[in-house]
Amino acid sequence: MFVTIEYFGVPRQKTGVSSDSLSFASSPTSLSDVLTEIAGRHTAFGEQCLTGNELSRETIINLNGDEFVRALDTQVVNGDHILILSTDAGG
Amino acid sequence: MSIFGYHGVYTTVDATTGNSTQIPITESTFRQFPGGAALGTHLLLKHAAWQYGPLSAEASLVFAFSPLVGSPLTTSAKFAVVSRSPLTGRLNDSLASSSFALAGKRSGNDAILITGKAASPCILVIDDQQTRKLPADHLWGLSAEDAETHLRKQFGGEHHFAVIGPAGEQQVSYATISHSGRHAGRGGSGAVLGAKNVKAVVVAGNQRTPWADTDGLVQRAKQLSKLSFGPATEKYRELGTAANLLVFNRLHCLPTRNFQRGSFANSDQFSPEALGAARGKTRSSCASCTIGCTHLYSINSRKSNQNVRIEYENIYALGPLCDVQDPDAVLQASQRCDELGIDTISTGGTIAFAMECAERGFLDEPWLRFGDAAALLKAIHLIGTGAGIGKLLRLGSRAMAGIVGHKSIEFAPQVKGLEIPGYEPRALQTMSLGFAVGTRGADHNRSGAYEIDFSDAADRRNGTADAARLAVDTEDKAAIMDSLILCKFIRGVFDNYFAETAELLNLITGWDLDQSAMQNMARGIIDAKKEFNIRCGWTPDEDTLPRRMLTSALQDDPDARLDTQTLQTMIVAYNLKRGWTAEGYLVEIASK
Repeated sequence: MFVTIEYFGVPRQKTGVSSDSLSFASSPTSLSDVLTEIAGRHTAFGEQCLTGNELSRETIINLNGDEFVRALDTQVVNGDHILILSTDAGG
Repeated sequence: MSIFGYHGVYTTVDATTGNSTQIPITESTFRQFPGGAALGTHLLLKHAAWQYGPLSAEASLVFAFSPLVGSPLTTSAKFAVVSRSPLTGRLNDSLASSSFALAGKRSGNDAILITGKAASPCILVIDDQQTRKLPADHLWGLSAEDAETHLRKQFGGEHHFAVIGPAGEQQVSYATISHSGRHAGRGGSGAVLGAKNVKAVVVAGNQRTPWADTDGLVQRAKQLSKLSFGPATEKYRELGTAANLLVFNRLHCLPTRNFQRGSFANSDQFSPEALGAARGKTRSSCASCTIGCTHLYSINSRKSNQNVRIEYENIYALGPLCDVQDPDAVLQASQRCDELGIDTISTGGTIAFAMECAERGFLDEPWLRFGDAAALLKAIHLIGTGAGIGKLLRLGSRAMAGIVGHKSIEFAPQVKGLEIPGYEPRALQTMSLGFAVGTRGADHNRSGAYEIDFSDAADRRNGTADAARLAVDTEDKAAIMDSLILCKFIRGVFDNYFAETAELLNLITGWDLDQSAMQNMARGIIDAKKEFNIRCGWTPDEDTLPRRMLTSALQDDPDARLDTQTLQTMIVAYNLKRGWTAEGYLVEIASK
């Protein structure tokens, strides 16, 4: 299955790309697996994205432009878009 | 009187006579209203300022400092300007950062309250000498920046200045007060000063306040500064608030064409990356700040030496909201707003509203069209001169709608008269509650309810009572931030917000406040703001949104739909959580 990752703000700056297209052998997969794949591609961002087994406080993730998710066992399916944002919407 | 962190007094200055009086403030008052917005609100209540029109001679305007001002704590060089707003008729508290806060506190005052009206343009000087009123005819008509340059030559480097631009002099309803390129921006406090014929307030002094635990404070300040270089503030440091634009656009939260749409065709050109690639870019900081969120871009080319400070809100209001897609025009518009001394959000909101009125045929202004950069710049010029439609634009969108008619109030982008910042209420429904109940009107700095929408605690397009109750906490945190005063961009570094802000206050004052005491303090501050509004004539029907937002979905996101019942459910939950009546009255007032 294919998942599109869209980066915004600091994640975009750290990864150096606005998006990635990732493929996974099985569907669904977990958000944790997706983030592990991203961390492998973008080390600088990967270090900041996770704190132990949790999403770091500085990272916000949105699924398909709809709901915001933090649980790493969130199921991701073929065609999903995962938006990764900087912390804090304000300003 | 000796209270750690405080002088224990405020000075009232009568602009009519130039006379001043120092009045004590008790420690028990500071324990409830520690500074900034809280102290200003308390003083307005004490002086019964609700009785007087915002632009009347009797109106009061307070510059309020705080116990943290002058301390080594990062982002603490801030002050609040508090008055009744000419735009809303309700309480207005605007905050800003600069050396004015440091010098104002060193003048030996915890606050300065200005009332009266000078017979001719003047400046008010509060320093180590006797408070005095001096003529300012030579400054009248100058931009705030030019007036500051003159004042610096006149007074030297120790004095600092809060100055109005031409818009304040002419009492434009959303005129700002400026100082060193920063602005107390929202709600028209510049018009209040202008109505008093006061071009500038000048402060200086050498009076410092002792701290209860200097070693502890310095240690904590070092920790806080170190954290301010960390990931919690990285977005602000590296990209600035303009980084919001692409995210909001992607989520259809970016108000476009006067809130008809939630996304904007040309958003990529306004991203910090694109702005920086095409133009020279520099960064700067407010006084006593280690974050350095200010990003300045040059206009037109990399070689231009005209730098404009760009924030998400001025891009939003002067770009997408007016559907203007030329970044240089938006930068120029923003610069022109600074020169005139007008709030960019209210300027953009009012012009976008006028553009829609013109397109619907409610205004005979065929040149005024969405997407027309020249029209945007012309409209700002007319706000400055007051000619033609400028006379209407100066009033803000609510008052303008009252004159235009045709039920245009239904799409005037305001709450209580204050134009809505760049958060689409239908796509961020907890934030819609924050806008509706805000004491100063639609505001993203007094309610951080968008944080709930941008989390897994709520469905951002389906507002609920549970989310509304969570929004109370964000408002409480803002009330403390605005009263200590600290910049909101530092908030992310705190693990336990109320306990840690209590610690900061304790280190300075020697008090023994804890988390619970800070939460109670926050609620007392918000009660005081509400009391002021109730005394001004607030009624529950003011806590709402423009009818457009309650009757139609976003054109580009049909799922972003909000109705009156949903909003009302959130408002009732919010009011009850605050301990008010379901309608939003303070219980003590409702029972009288």
